[in-house]
Amino acid sequence: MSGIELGLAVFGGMLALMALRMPIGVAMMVAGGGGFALIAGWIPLIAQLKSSAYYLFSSYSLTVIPLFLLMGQFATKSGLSRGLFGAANAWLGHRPGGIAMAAIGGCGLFGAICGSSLATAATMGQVALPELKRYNYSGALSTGALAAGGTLGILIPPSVILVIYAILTEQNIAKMFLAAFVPGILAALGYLLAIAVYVRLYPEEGPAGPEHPLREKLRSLVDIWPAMLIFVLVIGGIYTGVFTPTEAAAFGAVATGLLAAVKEGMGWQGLKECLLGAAEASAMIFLILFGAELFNGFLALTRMPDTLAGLIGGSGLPPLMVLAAMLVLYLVLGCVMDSLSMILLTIPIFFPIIMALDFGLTPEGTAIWFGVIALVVVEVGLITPPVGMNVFIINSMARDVPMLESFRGVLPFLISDGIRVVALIAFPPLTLWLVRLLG
Amino acid sequence: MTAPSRLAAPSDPVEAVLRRLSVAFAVFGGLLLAGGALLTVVSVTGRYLFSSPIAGDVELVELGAGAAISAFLPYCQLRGGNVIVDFFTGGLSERGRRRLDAVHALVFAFCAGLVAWRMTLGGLDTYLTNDETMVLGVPVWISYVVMVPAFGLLCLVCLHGAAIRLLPGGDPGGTPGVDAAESAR
Amino acid sequence: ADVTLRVHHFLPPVANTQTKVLEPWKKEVEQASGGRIAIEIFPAMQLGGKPPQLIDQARDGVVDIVWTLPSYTPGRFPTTAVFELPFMVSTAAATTQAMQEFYEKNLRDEYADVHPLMFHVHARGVIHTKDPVAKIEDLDGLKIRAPSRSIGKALETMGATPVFMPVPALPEALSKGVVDGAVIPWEITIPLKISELVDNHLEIPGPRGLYTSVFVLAMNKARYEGMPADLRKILDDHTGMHMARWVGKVWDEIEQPGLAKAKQSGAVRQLSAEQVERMRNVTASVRGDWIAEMNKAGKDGAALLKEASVLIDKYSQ
Ligand code: NA
Ligand code: NA
Repeated sequence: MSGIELGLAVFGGMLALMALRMPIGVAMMVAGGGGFALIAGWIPLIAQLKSSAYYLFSSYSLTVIPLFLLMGQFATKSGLSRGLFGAANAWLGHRPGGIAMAAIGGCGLFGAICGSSLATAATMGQVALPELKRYNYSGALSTGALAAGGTLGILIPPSVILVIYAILTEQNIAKMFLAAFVPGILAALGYLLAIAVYVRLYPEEGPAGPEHPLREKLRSLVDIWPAMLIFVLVIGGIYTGVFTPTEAAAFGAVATGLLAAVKEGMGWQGLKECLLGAAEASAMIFLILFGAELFNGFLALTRMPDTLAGLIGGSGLPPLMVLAAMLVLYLVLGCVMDSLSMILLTIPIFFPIIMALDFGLTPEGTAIWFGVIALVVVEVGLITPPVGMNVFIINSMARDVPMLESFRGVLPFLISDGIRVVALIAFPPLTLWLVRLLG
Repeated sequence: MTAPSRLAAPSDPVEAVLRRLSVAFAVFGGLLLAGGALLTVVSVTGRYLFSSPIAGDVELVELGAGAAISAFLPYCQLRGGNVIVDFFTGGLSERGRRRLDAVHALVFAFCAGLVAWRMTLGGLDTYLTNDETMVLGVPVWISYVVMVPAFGLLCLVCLHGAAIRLLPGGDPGGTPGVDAAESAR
Repeated sequence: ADVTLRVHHFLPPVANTQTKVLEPWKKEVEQASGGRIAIEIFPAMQLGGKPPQLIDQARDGVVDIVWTLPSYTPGRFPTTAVFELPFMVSTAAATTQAMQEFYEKNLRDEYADVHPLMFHVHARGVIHTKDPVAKIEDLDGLKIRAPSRSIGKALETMGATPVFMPVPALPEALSKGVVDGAVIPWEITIPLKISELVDNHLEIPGPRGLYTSVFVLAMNKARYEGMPADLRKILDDHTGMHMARWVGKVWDEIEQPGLAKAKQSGAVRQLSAEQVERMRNVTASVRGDWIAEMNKAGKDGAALLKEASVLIDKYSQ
């Protein structure tokens, strides 16, 4: 069996296990570990297991995930989340879908302090899901909006993946961030529009509340000043260089924890509840990451991504078709791989191919333009069925919402993403205009 | 608060012990995590104000995180918190689903047991080869001391989950373990 | 092919390690064996794990060969660290050959778990800072990213605050001011774009430089011993000192583009001879600590340090 055949067979087997209710992290472990052993033998597999859990779980860059989840727990305990959504309700609650729009805004703001879409989705899920439910939003719309909102963080600095792309392709990091700005805004606007259309079609899923008098609107702002203060501190700290994005997560957790202790008198029992909440959500995510790590190793061993990329590069297709084929491959790989592994695995192969094609842009323009589009599509892969990491994570936090509902809820956002990707490809100035202006 | 299910009834002492242990592990891990956050804040403040960070803060956080995340796993499994795709099996009978879940719990138990066994050897390796952290020279095996029992406990939680789904008189449906853990909080 | 060897490393496939060292070596071995040995390179930790795990992956046979830094697992290869001490390194070519010979004489025990194919070092580190540095006092209070424990200690003796972080985090930390500078060789300044982030680059001239890092290409022992004798001979002929010789030279040559780029946009200075001497004296305690550590482990630290130094001199001529 060739590498590609084996890769596809094991991939299919993994999907089948998932469809049979096996926890997806375990399905990835079984398929990835089994496939790895088929190619390399059992000894390498069990040798790897001696230390792989330690190195994955203790990875410093991944500690943002449990820390932000703990912050989310404290934010809820201290009444921060309720206050924020109370304000959102006072100002936007009378519009259909208004609170979901506020949640998208929250994801965008959180993306400005967090460089990981999994952490953004999981933290916002913890904070926003109960609130959306309180305002009678449907499970489909709530989980769909948050899963999609999680992908916003990648285009807003700090973004780990944008930096990695710049390093891999020797591009200027500041210019990459400038280039990502307009597509990032477009993503947020597209999601707001998606919600507006969705609630027009299904008004009962994001019901409008009563209009609030101005006095109440203003009073709602008083409640959220601690949240604003913490946000300003954390974001100010990141952008002025007092701390790194990872350290920001620690600051956020400590600040919200103190707030919960001071404002709501959180004692040992309350602390314990917060720790348990963060523990459960962290374990869920890391089990998937652990499975994905094994599966990614197997996939690399089959050389499937290399081979597919080579096929695309050597196909002699016109430039736009080559680009389209690459983007489709990203959507497929996005089922099982995390964004970072995908970029690391494919960019070194794709980038030279793209640079050799003529898109009517300068070499630097091509590099920046392709990078932004690739990152956008990689993130879209996190919310496409049948396997979308963000959707899975949000869905498992909303225990009463069936998975099918969540994928239904994410559909309007996928349509918006599709339109955005086509627009970015058709009009390179959307990406490059700001770079030319300020670069 | 839901009424205690048969699982949480005192008649299942195994369940009670596993629940207590899982909660204890999760809370301990959570404290490690919170401690890491505090340490980071102190270190960054020292670095910014006095140009004197706490030496080796990053590696202490890493050692703690490794232990913490594994300590979270049994609790998550006990609460049925792991991600499951349920839309293809919606048509199955309650009994059919329970059997499937039991099989998966056995598979997960096998995986967790395998990791626990391998990490015992891995921890011994790091002990024998003097693996230590870069700045402070803290031995790496201290993380393994928490991680190995955590994976062992995860294995037991999975085995117990499989047993109560297969044996007569087990939980009639839903997500076994959730109610029990709920009442522990 | 009769034997397929999987090589695993942590850098991206565009890195010099892959394009200038591993790929030419792969071609050489595959040709010399008439295709009977095939080498597959897996960059960027594609097969799983984190960089510090690489050496165990070779030991346990997860992969056949790894390229890694012994210093990623501190405590395990204490004697190797002698080449990373302040003011040991001369050129990469000379130090690499010295390291290889030193291994063959003194380090077989330390690497008994694996079969090392070749050792090498990178060229001497350069101090890159936002504000100009002309003397040791200028380093006082600066937060400098350090690559290893011994250079961290050396920076401390000079009054700087060492900050440890993974290399990919360096550009962002520099641009945000989390650190004020870094010590790294010119080679890596290109992918990390250091010259876009800081304007001052301080070279430490003289026969010996500030520091270097040791790298090892290590193979699984059973896998090596299980190869047919004729193929093992081919592998032997294209590794060891033969390979160390050309790889060391490569590591000197790939310094040039980084240096040239930095000169375009910033100031490249050389530390004065008097200051170099002071720096040597100030950091002497780091070498002393290493000797004490060796003595404690029952070895003759001073003799080992001397031997390493003599070997570097021998290959520097
Ligand atoms: Na971000
Ligand atoms: Na997907």
